[in-house]
Order: sequence, then C-alpha cells, then structure tokens
Amino acid sequence: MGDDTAVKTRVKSSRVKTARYPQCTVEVVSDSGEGAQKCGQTFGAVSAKMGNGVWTVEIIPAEIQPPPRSPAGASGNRIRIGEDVVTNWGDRTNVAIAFNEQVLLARHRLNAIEDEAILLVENMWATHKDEDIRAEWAAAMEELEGANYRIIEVPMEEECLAIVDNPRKGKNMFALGILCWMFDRDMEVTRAEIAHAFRKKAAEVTERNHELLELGYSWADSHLDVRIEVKPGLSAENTLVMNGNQAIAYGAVAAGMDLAAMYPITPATSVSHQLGEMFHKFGGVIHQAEDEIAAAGVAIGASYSGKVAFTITSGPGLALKTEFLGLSVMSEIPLVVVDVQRGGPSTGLPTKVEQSDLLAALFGQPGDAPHVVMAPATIEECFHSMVTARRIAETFRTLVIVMTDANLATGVQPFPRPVLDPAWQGSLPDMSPVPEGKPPYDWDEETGLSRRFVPGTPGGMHTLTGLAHDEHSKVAYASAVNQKSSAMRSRKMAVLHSTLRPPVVYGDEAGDLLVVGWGSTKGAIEEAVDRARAEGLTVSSLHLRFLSPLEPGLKAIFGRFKRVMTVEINYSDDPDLPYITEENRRRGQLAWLLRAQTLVDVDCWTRVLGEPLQPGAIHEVIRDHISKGSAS
Amino acid sequence: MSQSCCSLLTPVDEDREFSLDDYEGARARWCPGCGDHSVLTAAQKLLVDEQLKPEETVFVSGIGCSSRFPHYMKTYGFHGLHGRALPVATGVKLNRPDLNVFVVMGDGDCVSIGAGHWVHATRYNVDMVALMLDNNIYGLTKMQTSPTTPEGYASNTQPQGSWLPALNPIEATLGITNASFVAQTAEWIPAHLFATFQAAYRHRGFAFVRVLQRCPVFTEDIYLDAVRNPEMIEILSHPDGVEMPESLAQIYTNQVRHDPKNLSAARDLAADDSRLRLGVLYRDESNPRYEETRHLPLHSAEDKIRILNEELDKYAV
Amino acid sequence: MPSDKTTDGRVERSLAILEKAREDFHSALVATSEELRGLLDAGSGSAEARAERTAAELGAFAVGHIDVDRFSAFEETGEPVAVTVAPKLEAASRTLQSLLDRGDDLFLVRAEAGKDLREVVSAGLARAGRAFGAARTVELARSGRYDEAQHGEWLDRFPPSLWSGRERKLAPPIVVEIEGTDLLAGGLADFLDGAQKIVLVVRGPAPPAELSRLITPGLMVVQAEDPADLSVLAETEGPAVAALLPDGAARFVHLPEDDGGRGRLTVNHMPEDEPKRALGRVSVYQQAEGLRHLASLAAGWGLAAAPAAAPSGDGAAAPAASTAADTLAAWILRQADLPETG
Repeated sequence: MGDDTAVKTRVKSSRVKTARYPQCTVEVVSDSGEGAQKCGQTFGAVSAKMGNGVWTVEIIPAEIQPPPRSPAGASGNRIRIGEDVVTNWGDRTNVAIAFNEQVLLARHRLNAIEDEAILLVENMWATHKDEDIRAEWAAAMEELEGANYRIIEVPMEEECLAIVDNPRKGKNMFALGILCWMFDRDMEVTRAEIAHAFRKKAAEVTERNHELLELGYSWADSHLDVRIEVKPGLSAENTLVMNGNQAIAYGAVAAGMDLAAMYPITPATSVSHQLGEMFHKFGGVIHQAEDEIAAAGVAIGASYSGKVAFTITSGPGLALKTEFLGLSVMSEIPLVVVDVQRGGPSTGLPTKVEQSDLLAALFGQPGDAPHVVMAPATIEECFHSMVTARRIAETFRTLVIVMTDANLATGVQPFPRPVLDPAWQGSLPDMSPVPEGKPPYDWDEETGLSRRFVPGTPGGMHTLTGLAHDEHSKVAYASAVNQKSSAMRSRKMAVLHSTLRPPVVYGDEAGDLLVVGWGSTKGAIEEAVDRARAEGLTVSSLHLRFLSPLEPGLKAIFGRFKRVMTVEINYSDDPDLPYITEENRRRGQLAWLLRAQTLVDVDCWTRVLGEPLQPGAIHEVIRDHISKGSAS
Repeated sequence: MSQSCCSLLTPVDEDREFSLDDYEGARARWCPGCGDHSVLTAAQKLLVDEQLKPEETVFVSGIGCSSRFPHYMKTYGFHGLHGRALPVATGVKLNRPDLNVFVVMGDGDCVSIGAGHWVHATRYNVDMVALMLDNNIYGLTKMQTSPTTPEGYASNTQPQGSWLPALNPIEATLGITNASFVAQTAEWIPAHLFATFQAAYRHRGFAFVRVLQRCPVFTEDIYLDAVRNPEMIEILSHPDGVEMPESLAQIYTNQVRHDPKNLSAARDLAADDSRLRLGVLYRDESNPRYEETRHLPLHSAEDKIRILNEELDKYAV
Repeated sequence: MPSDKTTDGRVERSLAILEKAREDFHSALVATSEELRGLLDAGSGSAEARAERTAAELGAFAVGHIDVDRFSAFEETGEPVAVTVAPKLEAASRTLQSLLDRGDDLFLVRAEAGKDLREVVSAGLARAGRAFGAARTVELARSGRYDEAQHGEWLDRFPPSLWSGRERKLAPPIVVEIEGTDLLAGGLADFLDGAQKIVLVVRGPAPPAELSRLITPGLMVVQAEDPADLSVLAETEGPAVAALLPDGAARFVHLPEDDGGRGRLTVNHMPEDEPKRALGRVSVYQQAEGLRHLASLAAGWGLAAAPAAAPSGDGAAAPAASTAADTLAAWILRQADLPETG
C-alpha cells in the first residue's frame, strides 16, 4: 500500500497556504487506550505555554474498554485555542485527527464537526486484511465525503512502524507531530512537555516519543499544504495550566485544610488522586473511608476537634452524605463539601457533565438545614473558592457546599498564578479556657454567631447533639427551644447574605433579555451574549457564585429586563412538548430557585446532552427568545 | 500518647485531682433497672482511676438508649447519628491523637445500621475504646428486633418471633483483619465490667468490648437465667487479659485460663454458645494503629506556602 | 562549627534517628505559634485593620462578591487582648517564630572543649524550652498573673527544671557534640524524664562505659559506635540517652522495663584493655568504675555469670552475643583476680 496514498496527499511544501484563525478547535480521537488524550493534552499545554488562550475537554467513552473501532468508543480530547482567553469548549471542531474512521464518523454524527473542517484519518483500515473492516471503511468514508469536509488520509501505522514495533502505542506522538507542524508549535516546548509527561518512565520512552514527534512533523511538512495560524496574544508569564479538580486539590491546601475524607466516585476522584500525590508534603491526611457516609463522618469528627476538614464527592455520594450534612448544620460543626456534579439521575452518566445537584445540595438534608452553597465558574475560581469556603465555614460554624462539575473537573485552562497568602490558611481554633457559665452555643441574639469549643479546651466540655437543643446543647423538651435554635441557625444565612454584593451584569444593565447562569457555563453564556450583542440584540447575562444564600439585589436587576431566563445543564421540560403547560412545566433548577426567591417569571433553557453547552446553541436560544419576546 | 498536634497554650493544672464529681454530667434518664446505669458508673470509675482530664476526653455515641451516654458525662461528648459513631470518632482521633476517645453504641447502632463502620473501624485499628451495649433489642423506639435478638424472640416488628439466628458480634469481630482487642463483659458483674474497661483503655489500639446489658422493659428475660445462675457463665482469665476479680471467685466458679494471643482458641470459644463467656478473647498490641501510621507533623503556614509554590511550578506555563 | 571530619556525619544521622521526637516538638511549636497568631489577630487592631485581614483571609474568590467590611464586622473577635498584655504576647510570638526559623539547628549543640556536659545540655534544652516559656508567658499574661521579676527570663531561657510533666513528655530531643575528655554523664540524670532524648556524639578518646552509670529500670541507655544502632531510640516513648563513641569503647543497649516486666541489658562489646590514662577531666578510676558498673549489671542480668561463676551449667539463659559474653566474662575474671582457666 502507501503509493496511492502518498500520491493522494503529497504536495509541495512551497504550495503551503497559511490560514489565520482568531480561534480554532481541534479534536484528537481514537479508541480508548490509544493515547489520544495525551496527544491532546500535550497540544493544549504547548499552546498555553506559547501564549494562546486554551480550553480543553476530554471526550470520554462511558465504558472502560469499549470494543475497538466502535463509534461509541470515541475517546480523546477537544482543544480550543485562541489568540485571546478561551472560556469554553466552543461549538464545532475545525481540525480533527482520528486513529480510525469509526470514531471520526461518531463525531460527525454528533454534529461535532464544522463545515470545511480538515480531517486527518489513519488509512490503514482501507487496506486491512479483514474484509468487514475494509467495507466499514468504505461506507464511513462515503458518509463523510458526503459532508463538506477536507479529508486527508494519513498512513500513521505504516510510518510509525519505522520506529516502533507496536504503532498502537506510538501513533499519538506522531499525530502530535502533525498538529505541531499544522499549528507551527514550538518544538522545543513540545519536546520538554513530552519529557515531563513521561518523566516517570524510562528515558528511552521519552526518546522514542521524541522520534515519533519529529516523524509526524516531517511527514506533515512533506505531505500537507495547509497550516493554521492562531497568534499567541497572551503573556504566558505567571500562568498555571491545570484542570478544575487539580485546582480544587491545591486550593484546599492553600486554604490550610489538613484532612480530606473521601470515597472514590467519578468525576470527583481525581481530586483525591491529586491529593494522594502531594497532600502529605503539607502534613495533610487523605482518608479513604469505607463509604461515602463514613467519609462525611470522619471529616465532621476532624472538624469538630480542630481545623475545618473537607470531603469530596459527586451526586450519588452527596445523596448518601445528606444525614451527616444535616448534622453538621444542626450541631454547627464547620465542614466543606465539594460536589463535582455528573450526569443523570441514579448512576446516570458518570463521566459526563450536568448541573443537576443544585436543589439536592440546597434542600436535600432532612429537616431545615440552612447552609452555604457556592459555585465557582472557572478553573481559577475552583482554586480560590476553597479558601473562601473554609473561611466562611469557620466563621459561620456551618456547612459549605462547593459545587463544580465534570466540565470544570476535567477541563484544562491557563489562569493567573495565585499569589499565595499565609492568611488563607487561618489559625487553629482558640483553645483558651472557657469562662464559667459560657454555653457552647452562646448565640448572639442578633446574628446567631457563636464561638465553638474544641475538645481540649478547659471548661468547654459539653455534649454536642443532633437532637433539638438549647444554647447549652441540652436536649430540648420545651416547645420554644427548637423554634429559637432553628431561628439562630437560619439567621446566620441572613447575616452572610447581608455581606454579599449584588452580582455584576455582563453587558448592559437593562435590555430585552437577561440570561442567568451558574457554575461552568459562564464562558459559553458570555460568548453567546457577545455574539448576540454584536448582532444588535440587547441581551446581558448574570452569573451567580452564591446559590445559598442567594446573591442580593436580583429582583431589582431582573426588573430592568423584559425577559429573564436561566441557561443550565440540567433537565427541564421544553414548553412546546406534549402535555406540558405553564402550570406543570418542570423548570431548570436555578429557575426554580429564582422564581421562588424573586417571584419573577424566570424562564429557562436547559439541556442534558452529557456535554458542556455550546456558545452557538445558546446564541440561537437568545435570538429565539428575543424574537418571541418582541412577538408577544 | 502523642500530644504533638496540640498547641501548648492550653494551660494544664497538673496538680488537679479528679474525683467522680468531675465526670458526672446530667442525671441519667434511663429506666430504673437499666443496665446502662452500671456501665456509666464503671466508665466514670475508670476515668477517676486513670485520672483522665475531662477536657481531653471525648465520648462519641450514635442513636439509641445507650447513646444518651455522653450527656451523662462531664467530658466532651458527641451524640451524633444512628450507626455513625465510629466514623466520627475516627475523624476525631485522626486529627487529635492526644484525646482519649470512647465510643458508646447499641447493638442496632453497631452491628446493624452501622455494620460497615464496625468492620472497618476494627480494621483501621485506631486507638480508642468501643463499647457495644448489647440489650438484644431496639429499646428507644420501643421493641423492634435487632440483629442480636435471639431467634424466635418476639418483638413489635417480628411478633411471631425473630426469623433469623442472632448475630454473634464477638465471633464476627474476631474474623475481621487487624482486630486487636476483643472482649465481652456483663453489666451485672460490676467488678468484671470495670476490669474489662480498664484493660480496654490500657490497650493500644481499637478495643472492642461487647457489654451484655439487660433491658428491664423489653428483654428482661433474656439474661435473667445468667444473672441468677452464675454456673451459666465462664470467665476467661489471663494476666494479659482480665484476671478474675477476687471478689467474684466464690460466685463464678467456672474459670478458664485463656491466652488472648491465641486467635484460633478465641474463635472457638466465641463460636461455642453453650456458655456466656466473659473476658478478653483476643488481644494483639503489635498491630499498627492507623492514627500513628497516618500521622504527619504540622507545617507552618509559611512552610506550606513554600512547598505549594514548588508544587505549582509544575503547572507553570 | 567543627568540620565533619571529627563526627563523620554522625550528628546528622543522630538527628535523623530523632526525627519523630523532633517532629512532635516542631508540630507543637507550629500549633502554638498558629494559635497565638490567631489570638493576636482576633483581639487587636482597628476595625480597618481587621477588615483588611479578613479580606486577606477570604481570598480572591470573595473579591467582588463579599463586602469584607461588613463581613469583618460580624466576626467574633474573642476577648480583645489588653493593651498592657499585647506586647508580651507579641514577644512570645516572636520567640516562637525564632525557634521555628532555626529548623533542625534547634536540636543541636556543639560543645566547646572543656565545658561541663551537664551545663551544656541544660543550656541547649533551656534554649529549645523557650517554646514552653513562651506558651507559659502567654498564659500568665492573659490571666493577669505575669510577673516580670519572676517570669521575665522565660522567653530567653526556660530550663528543664521548670518544665511541667506535660512539657517533659514533649521534650525537645537534643544532639550534643562533645569531646571524649568531657564525657562525664552522671549529671544528665537530672534531665532524663518524660520523653527526653539525648544523644551524645563524642569526638576523640573517651571513657569506655560512662553511660552505664545512668542505667535505671525505666531509662533507655545505649552506647554504640554505629549511628544505626541508635534506631532503638525511636521505639521508646520514654526517656533515652545514647552516646556514639569511637572504636574500642563498650557497646551496650539497655531497654527500659515495659508493663511490669524488667528491662533488658545487652552487652555487645567489652573493651579488651583496661583504662590506663586519665582523659581530660575523667580519671582512670572513673573510667574503670564505669566498666565495673556495667559488668556488675551484666552479671546481675545473668549475661556473663554462667561461664564465670557457674561452670556447672545452669546456663540455659545463654546470651545471644556469646563472644561479647566471653569477653565480658574474661574481663570480670581479670577484675576479680581469678585464674582464667578456672
């Protein structure tokens, strides 16, 4: 084989054209286990180091080992790079490099590929000895060629065989070489990045991968005729590149927390992996508990006896922890819980993104359990939110739930390196002797705030209880006691609310439409708003960080817009579906909350596709809603 | 015991001598005749005997009659969730190895709703005393069958009699990897109860003590024969476990020398239900203690920042 | 600082063996310093200063979302530190910080030749003990019981004689580098309490069995040549003293008694030669006395008694180190003026 292909793709370097893109989306897709992830991550990291804005998203099959060459098994990375800051994964891909035609077909069928995209595909399957495979190749190529793509066949296996015996383990670096040529990446930086990625392996491994990289680069140089220029417009100085789960882990360290208790759950587990690698260096202990409930219990026991501890989980784990979370509120033991949300009810879509835990996080605990719920909107905020969460938990003696999602957890983005401050770490609780007669819940009648007594504090002995109790922590039998202590715990939320600033509107302060979001959707929503505003639509957006207590001033802000809607990654009934009426329509979770809190008729548009929202899709929704608004 | 995790600022009056008054909390509200009263007295006596500082002692409990226990002590107490005393106590001890931690659970707490924690706490082998007050019934919620209710014994949930053979907590605990102290005692024999508590407290590791406990309201008859007839009881005696208190030698004449190092003998004794056996069945102090193997020195804030900056360098662009 | 030539890295290895004890002390220092900083922060400063601190503590996520002035106004400030007390607390805080800044150096004393060992150790412990002095100063100042005349020195030196039982359990371990000619161990008994660990790294010729005088039931005592032999120190929670001596000195390990059982003495080496020359301030008699004491203890443990006094063979308890036992027996026989052939 080879000759045909070579003819088909061989072009003279002198005829190479360079197209300039302000931003460009690239996908690397393969069967799982072929290293597309590593290829994509390295490409993203190199781009960030060169000063491009970057956002990467993992493409993860739900199965651990899906059958090879199956559309459902598409695994890899989407990397969106830009001249400026990139805040989301974009719409459709401009360049894809695929290790087989089936995974490429899968992306095509998911409508993930842009018109006129350049698709590079391994062509060994065209001449495979298995007749069925050859037939699959032919059918797939026919379908792909029906769309408006530029398809370039690449003899990856054949080329790689020159260097490695098992090209299945080497193609990813060859593919990286091709991308490096296409995007004119700095090869020194790339080589260093590869060396870092394989630092735990033998030196020969790095050497081999460098060779494969060079091979891909020179193959592209002699065979391809198009290069893409995305000018690096950012300073890479004092910038970190990491994913949201890594940011959470390091944020916990920066916040001075010394104990994490957890039970493995996707997609939260990689926070624990990160902690497992480095927490001990800070004197931190990560306790892998026997179950989600015990993880919460251990964190509470640790918090009770000293500095605030934390636990990490995802939706199903949050459900299991609810009784303990209620106890933490009732007994006023500070606690930080990180909920990395994933898709679906029940076991759902474990590796996919969703924002469906909001109401459970707010109201899932038995009885009245007022507490704090925060949602970082970017990877940078994942880091910093841990500092704030710990501090609020300590001051308000309460539970703080920090909600992220799979999009933030696995997305990688450069952000300004935090200037670390020792003040973030707080200090050990005051253990000086308690004056006689001072009760363990010495609530300030106005604010509900009180000092907590940690074991070891002389004179502070009391029995903390989850039963209704008075300020002495005595089990309450008098009817008024529960009313009073409930009021004290609730008051703390009102006090915290009084310290929050009204959110800042993105865009004009008034207009036809206000889009409200929370969590990881910020970048996509704001990009959509920008596009719509560029078309002359009067749309603005608002992104909430505090869901409980809710940020102040919302009603006034909403009043300045003709229509208000939330955009979320959770399920809501579309209004035009059968049987759905204004009365029975189940709305997005933030929409529920905002309607209840503000009595404003907040609409919503939500999707549960298992993937981040695309700015293009939101843009369309904005157009649609504004035109509906002007029609009515 | 390591005190390293504590600040030196807390003043300690080392000349203080503690008496029973220093440990007595609210007046106990258990039913008259409830075995828990006797357990409380033995625990308070232990604290006096060992002169434990009330502020450095924590009693953690779950939910149930016995879990009211901490309220009746004048130490720190944590009356938490049904079945979840052990994780909380584990968290306390992991964070603060300097504290004396006692866990008080009922049979429903320990071997039913919290059974997973019981298995794993045994395996963690954190240095604490875990008392399982076993009255064979759910008392607080008024007589529902528990895992240790004898087969055929009628309750409100199983009025035709318990359908299943009773779970044997001692046999089960002896089967858990890393078990380091397993004992059984009875609240109606105060001298033995106290001696067992003392051995449990002095043991370094997770000391599991099942206390056979009468409920005068719902299961009065279950231990009645054993209370009346000392012949039914066999005392396991050993210098490394609990020696038969002298005052009891005349009454409890069935005495067997059992070396608590002998695990297989312990398992045989636990499995044989022809007699009620009291004493230390198994003890091995050589098992590592989780809070010690996981212990790390504290770092100052400045130190942490230095290390964190080194870590973040890895992610620098 | 003397060069490593004289101690061949033995100081560093000794410090490494004392890691656990050093870490425990260091952790207590960190915790105390942190709590004290919290006290000073909470209880002092203007509203503006407090707000500024709150802003720093809330971190970057709060920027634009939390009104820190308002937040700070709600903070529980604790008992404000009285103006008269604050300077004392700040001084204590500085003391703790200076101890933290010293790192491992805090646990090391290099004695000048000719110094009295007891005084050297006392001074080293009094230096590290400033941590306890600082904590006590805070406690006294806050409760209004601080008396400059009585407590004024505590931030500069806080000797073991003033340490409480709890402080002794947290005692800072200490490694002392010392000339063999200054090795007179008797005075060290004063410090060996709680969890105190003392390691003497000896340079040059030294009395052969000086530490044998310190053997008491509850104390771990070790003489060795190889620092690796000090690893037993990490296994006891009680007090321990060890000396790393040049070749030729007696080598032994005395393990303290455990619950009711007796301690255990193992003699690994007895010197062939009797002391002949005075070493600095240590006379021949004193040197020999150390050896005799060790031998008599060993005999008491039945270590060497069998070959010497009971040839008929009630020697079931034959020690493991038989060559050492033989040497010891021979040594005792020589001392007793008995014919070696028995």
